[in-house]
Amino acid sequence: MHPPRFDAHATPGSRFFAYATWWQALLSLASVLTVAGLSYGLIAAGFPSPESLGILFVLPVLCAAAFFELRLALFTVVLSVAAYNLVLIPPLWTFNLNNPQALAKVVVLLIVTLVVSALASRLKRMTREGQAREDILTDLYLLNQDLVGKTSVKDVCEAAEQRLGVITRMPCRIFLESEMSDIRSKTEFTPHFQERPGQWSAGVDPRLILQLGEADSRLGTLVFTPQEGERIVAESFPFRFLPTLAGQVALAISRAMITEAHAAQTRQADRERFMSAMLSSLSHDFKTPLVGIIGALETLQSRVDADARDLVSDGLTEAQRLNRFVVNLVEVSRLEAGVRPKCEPVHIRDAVSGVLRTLRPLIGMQTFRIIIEPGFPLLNVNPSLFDLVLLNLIENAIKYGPLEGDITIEARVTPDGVLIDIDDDGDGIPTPLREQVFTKFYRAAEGDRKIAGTGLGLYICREIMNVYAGTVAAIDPPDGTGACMRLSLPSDITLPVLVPQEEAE
Amino acid sequence: MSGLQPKILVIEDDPQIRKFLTITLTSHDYTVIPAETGREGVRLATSVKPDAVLLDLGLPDIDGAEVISVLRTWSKMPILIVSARDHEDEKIKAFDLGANDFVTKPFGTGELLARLRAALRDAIVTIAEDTVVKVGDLCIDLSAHKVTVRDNPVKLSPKEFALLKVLASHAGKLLTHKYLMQKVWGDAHVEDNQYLRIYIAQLRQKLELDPARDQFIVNEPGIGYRLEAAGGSE
Repeated sequence: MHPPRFDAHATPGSRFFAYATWWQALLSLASVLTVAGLSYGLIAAGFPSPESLGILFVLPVLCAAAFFELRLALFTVVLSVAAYNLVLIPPLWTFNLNNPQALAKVVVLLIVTLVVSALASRLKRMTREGQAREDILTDLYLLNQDLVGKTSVKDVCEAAEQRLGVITRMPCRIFLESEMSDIRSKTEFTPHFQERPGQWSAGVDPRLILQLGEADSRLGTLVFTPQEGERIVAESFPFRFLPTLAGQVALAISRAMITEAHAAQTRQADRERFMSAMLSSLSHDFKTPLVGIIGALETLQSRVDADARDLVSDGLTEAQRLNRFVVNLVEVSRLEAGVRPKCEPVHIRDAVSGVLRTLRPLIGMQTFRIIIEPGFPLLNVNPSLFDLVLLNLIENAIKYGPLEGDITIEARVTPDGVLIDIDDDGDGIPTPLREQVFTKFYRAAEGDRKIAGTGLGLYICREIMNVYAGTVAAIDPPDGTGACMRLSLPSDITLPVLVPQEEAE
Repeated sequence: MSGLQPKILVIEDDPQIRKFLTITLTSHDYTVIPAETGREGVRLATSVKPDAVLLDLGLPDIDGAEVISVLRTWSKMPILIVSARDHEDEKIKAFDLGANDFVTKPFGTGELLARLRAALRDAIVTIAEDTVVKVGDLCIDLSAHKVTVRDNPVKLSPKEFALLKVLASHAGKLLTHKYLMQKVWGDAHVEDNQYLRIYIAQLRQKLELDPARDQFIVNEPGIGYRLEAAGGSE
C-alpha cells in the first residue's frame, strides 16, 4: 500500500510566525546591547585589554544561531558588528571604517560571526532533525502498538483517531468510505470537501485532509481540524510524517476489514449449517414416527376385520395427510432460510402423473382431464418443489370439489412463457378472498363443509413460484363454475422441446 | 437363493421402524437379519450373506454411502435404500455407488414389498424374449410387439416400444436415466435425457388413458423411471 497522497502547502508569512520573529529579533537586539554595554562598562572601569573584548560580540550571534532561525542569526551578525564598531573602535559612538586597522577588525569579526552562525545553525538543524526522527519513530511505534490486535474496523479507527490526536495535538477523525452514505457524516463533510481529496486548500478550509488507501480502492478519509486561530504547516513536524502514519492506519483498517469480512462469512456459513442441521432433524423427527405409524397401519390393514379396516384406513389417510403437512412445513422453512434446491428438466406430464399417484388414496369418483398443448416445453425447475405446487393445488381441487366432479389440468404456451390451469367444480373462491387465500396460515371459513387444511398449502405454492419468477393466482373459472388456479412461469425457465426424429414405421 | 426363505439384512437405527419391518417382512416369508449400525450391517453382510439389503441412509455411526461402497467391493446383492424425500443428492450418490432401488420415507408396506420382489427377481431372472409382461391393466407382448391397456390395443412407435420393452423387462425396478438412454438410444446419447422425458410423456399419453388410475410409469425425480401398476403393490 502506498502512503496517502500529501501535497499540502503552508501559507508563508503567517501571523503566528511574524509574531515569533519579532520577539526573537528583540531578544537578539537585547543580547547585542548587553554585550555592548558590558564592554563599555569594562573599558570605562579601566579593563587592561579592550582589544580582547571583541570576542564577546560573537556570543549574541552564537546564541541567535543556536536558538533562532538563520535569518535572525544574520540579523544579529549585522547588529553585533555594528555595536563592536561603535563601542570598541575609537572614536567611541561613531562608525569608523576609515583606517585600515578598523576595517580589518570589522571584517575579521564579520567573517568569524558568519562562520559561527552558519555552523551553529547547521548543528541546530541536525539536532532538531534527529529529535524529529526520534519523535516520529516513537509516534509510529505507539500508533502500531495501539493498532495491533484490534480486529474490528471500529476499534482500529477509534485507536487511530486517539493516537493521531495526541501526536498532532488536534482532533482527528476518520471517515470511512462505507460510512459516507451515512447522512450525518456526509453533511459534516460535504461543504468543505475538496475536488481533489488530500489537497488542503489554504484560506478556505483550515482542515488537513488525507486520503486513506489507494485511489482505486479508497478506504476513507482522515481529517485533522486545527483549533481556532491555529494553522497547519504541512512540511513541519509532525505533519510532515502524517503520510507514513496514515499508511499504517490504512493498512490496519484494511486488515481489520478482511478480518471482519472473513468473520461475517464464517457466521453466515455457521448459520446455514445450523439451519440445515435443524431442518434435517425436524424432518427426521417427524418422519421417523410417521414411517412407523404408516407402516404399522398398513400391516394391520390386511389382518383385521372389515369394521376395523375402515378405522385403520382412516388412520392411514390422516397419517399421510400429516406427512404432506410436514413436507410443506419443511419446504417453507427451507425456502424462508434461502435454500434454493437445484433444477433439472421436468415434463409436466411426469409431474402431474407423480402427483396423482401420491394423491391416489384421496381420489374418489373424480374424472381427471389432462390437456397439454403440443410443443409444451420442459420446465427447468426443482422437480420436488414443482411437484409440491401441483400436489397442493390438485389436493385442494379434490378436497373442495364434488365427489364426482371433473378436474381439468390444462397446460398452455403463451408468448411470455407457460400457463397451467387447475380447474375444479367446487364452490369456488369468492372474488374478495382470492388474494387472501395465499397468506400464511389462512384457512377457509368453516362453512357447511368442514375441510381440514393447514393454511400452508397455497402459501408455499406462492413461495415456490416466486423462486422461479412465476405466479400463482385464483382466476375467474373459464367454465364459470368452481375454482380455477393458474400457474404462470416465464419463458426463461422453459427448455424448448426438440422432437426427436424417428424412423418411419 | 440360499435356503427356502430369502434373507434380508435390515440396517436401520430406529427401533420402531426395525420392528415393523421385521414383522412385515417375516409375515411375507422373508427371514430378517436386523442390524442397528452400519458397522454391524457390514459385518453381518459378510457372515450371513443375505439375498438383499435394506439400508437406511441416515445411520448414526457411518455414512450409508460408505456401507454401499464397502458391500459393492465384494457383492452384487441387491441394495435397497431407505431415504427421506428431501435428500435427492444423497440418493443420487447412493445410486452412483451401486444401490439398486429405493423407498422414500414414509413408505407403505405394499411399496416396500413390491420393490423388494422386483430387486430379488431382477437379481436372478432374465425375462425371455417371448414373455408377456402384465402390469396391472397393461399387457405387453414382447415378441409380438403388441401392447394393450384394459384389452384395448395401443399403437406405439418403434422407439416408444423399445423404451417400454426395457421398462417392462425390469418391471417394478427403478431404471436410471442413463441406463434407459443407453438401452434405447445407444451409448452416444447417454447424457441427452431430454429425449427420454419426451418419449416417456408420449408413452404416458398413449398408455395412461385415465391419468388418475393408470399410472404405469413412475417418475423418480433426478434418478429415473420404473414401470409399476398403480398403488405400488401387485
